[in-house]
Amino acid sequence: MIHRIIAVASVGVLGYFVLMQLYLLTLALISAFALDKERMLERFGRIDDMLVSDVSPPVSIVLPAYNEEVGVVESVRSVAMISYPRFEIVVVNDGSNDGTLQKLIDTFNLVPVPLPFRANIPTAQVGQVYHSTRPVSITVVDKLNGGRADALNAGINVARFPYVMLTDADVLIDGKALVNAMRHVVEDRDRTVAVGGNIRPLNGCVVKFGHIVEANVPESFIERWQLLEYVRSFVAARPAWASFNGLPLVSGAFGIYLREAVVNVGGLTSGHMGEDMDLTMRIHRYYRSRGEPYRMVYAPSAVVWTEVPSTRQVLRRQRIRWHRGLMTAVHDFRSSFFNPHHGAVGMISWPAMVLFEYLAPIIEMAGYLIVPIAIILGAVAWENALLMLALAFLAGAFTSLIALLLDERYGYFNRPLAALRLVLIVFVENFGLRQQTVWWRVRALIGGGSTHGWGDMQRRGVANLGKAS
Amino acid sequence: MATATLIAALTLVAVKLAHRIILVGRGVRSAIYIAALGEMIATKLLPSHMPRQWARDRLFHQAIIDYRRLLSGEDGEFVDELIKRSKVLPSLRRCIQPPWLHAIRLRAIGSYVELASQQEIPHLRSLLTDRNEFVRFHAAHGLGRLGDVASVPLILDLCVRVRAWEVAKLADSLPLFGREAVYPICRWIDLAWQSPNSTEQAVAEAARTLGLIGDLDAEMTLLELLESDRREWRIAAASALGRIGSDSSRFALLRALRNESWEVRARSVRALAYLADGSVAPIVSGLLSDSQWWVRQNAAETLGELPGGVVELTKALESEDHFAADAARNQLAELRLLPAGVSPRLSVETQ
Repeated sequence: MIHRIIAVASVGVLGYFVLMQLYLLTLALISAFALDKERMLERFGRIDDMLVSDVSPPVSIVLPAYNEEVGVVESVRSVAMISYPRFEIVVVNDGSNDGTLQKLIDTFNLVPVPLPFRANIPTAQVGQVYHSTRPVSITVVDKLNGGRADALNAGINVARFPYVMLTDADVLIDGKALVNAMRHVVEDRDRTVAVGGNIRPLNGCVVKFGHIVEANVPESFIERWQLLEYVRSFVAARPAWASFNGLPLVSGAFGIYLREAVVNVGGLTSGHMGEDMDLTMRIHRYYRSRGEPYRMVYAPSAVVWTEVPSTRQVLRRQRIRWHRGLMTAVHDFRSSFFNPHHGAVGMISWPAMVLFEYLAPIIEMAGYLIVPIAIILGAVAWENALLMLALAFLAGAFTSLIALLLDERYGYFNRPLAALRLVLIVFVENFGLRQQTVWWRVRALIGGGSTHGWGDMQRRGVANLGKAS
Repeated sequence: MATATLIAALTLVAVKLAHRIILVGRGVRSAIYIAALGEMIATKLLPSHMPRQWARDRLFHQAIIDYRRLLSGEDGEFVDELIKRSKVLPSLRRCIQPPWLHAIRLRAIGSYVELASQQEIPHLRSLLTDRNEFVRFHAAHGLGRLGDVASVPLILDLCVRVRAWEVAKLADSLPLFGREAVYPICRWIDLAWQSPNSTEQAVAEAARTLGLIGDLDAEMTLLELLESDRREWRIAAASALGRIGSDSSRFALLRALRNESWEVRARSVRALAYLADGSVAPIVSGLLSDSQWWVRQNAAETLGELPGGVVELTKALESEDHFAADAARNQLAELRLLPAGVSPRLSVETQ
């Protein structure tokens, strides 16, 4: 009897991995078509006309900052250089206890203003608002500490324009990211409520004057592995989800929202470890429950570069935090699971998120325990187990290679050495680090090792990000 | 599976290497074209023969487009002669035709509309009925660049039949036609108004275009739109009238400040800022007490820009309506003109 249970369980685990890889492969293939369509629009859609158009919708760019004294000025300068006809920058100083606010006041010649802003979303108390029109319209909100979500909510309250771009003070935004993202809004202004961007690791890239001048494959294994992970997610999965309006997550590092939509759902949830997923899902639920037409799209050419963890300790804390966020979201949106009233999100992307993201570490961990026992007990023939394992790993590698091939249209990393490094990481990622991340995610589920609020990754500041140029 | 993975890995490496080689090759070819064309223009010597593949190479097209944009007068005429001699246009015309793949057609139309001369207008007009939306709006831009005013009604008619995003793309081409387009646009709006087929967006885009062109001849049409029963038209007309600048526009915009739609009031009050007539400041000041946040903010911003507006803002500091006082206080603080003794401290209001 035990033999039989173990045999069924081990075959189930191996079958699960094959199924997961098939799902990812399907997403990659759908993404290929979606990216082709996108590419066509980008190349031949006269996007640059928007840069001189009077009707391009204005955008408020919200940058939350907490103890960012080192890089906040460079961040704001970098954002101010974005190519777009009309935008304002709203920096929210979330109760920093370093010189973040003073640095901003001194550099941009800010003056206190009694801005009568629309306090649509409740936040921690706002102390003062400062304003300057040089080099662009900059508003700085000084408030009591309340965490990233609370800071973003305060920024959304103060934002004057109908669209808000939520990002971080420690990212580098590509000069054309905003125009590439807002293109989707212009194309369907009535229905577009959110646009997600393409996040890429900054580690290893050469940065000059707050801009990427050379994109490189990072040196260290851990960073390179994350590069592959980002490419798989942002190039080979999100375009597919967005193509059937089932995007379950607009990344927190770059998301443009209709301000009204965020206000209608009550803003971001303070204290939530996956506030970006929570916001995305709540917007889906809001529009679905009202039966109002809407769409949340993904702009692969709206590129934002962010620093990824370069040490295992920081990566561990990040992954635990992310999985905790996912766990809370799975609980909060359990009503969306296979809910036909929630459309593609309810029937495809959210169930897939639960089955292949949330449950994956548990099943994988179970697999590492059960399959060897099954082989030892003779419940499963070792040849069969090895074959299925090899099939799952090879299918994973194949999907990763497809993702890298799709990424080729953006033209990064085309040096021969970079190509070899990427191919190598595809094959070796399954041995070591993968198992370790599985363990971290299981730990997240059973509690422990999490970090709240702003996280604790050591930031270097935008000016010092990437390789020294 | 192992074979498929191996093939994918080898393909990736091959694609990356090919991509690199292609990029290097493009750089070299571009440099050759730029140098060759530069020398021809500098020496004013037309070659007796140009390699046929040049006419088909998009890098050559780009190089010649760049020179054409850059040069005028005698040099510009010489570039036109080079375009004729290189037979680029017949080659591009062939590539635009339907049997070719989308990517080839679209690449060709992009260059064609930049290089086309007056003789190409009939062909460009025929492309307005192409099945591909990209070809259609590129053709509209080409016609705009050539100033073919007769095609304005065709483009506007097209706006009625196509999806919203293409209307926006087509509308972007209309200001290129310049002042000559005002009469056909106004006439089209008059006819569209009576037609049951007219779409809200097409008329609104046409009205916005009239504002961008900024010709006084469009005023009557815009004034009628401002009085229409369609909100989108009134909003577009209000913004456009701000750029026209006659007494009639000013009076109409002042009347629109009492419109039941807050969007129309918000646009009208901003439009008054463009007219820069200080005599309207006391009336604009009344909107500091509007029930809508946007209208109050726009009124404050307009007062900040109007001659005499600061006086009205300062008066509003004493207002019993704290919304009006807050909006005025903020505007004065942003202008750095807050009177001594008035605190720039924040007071939070809700909508």
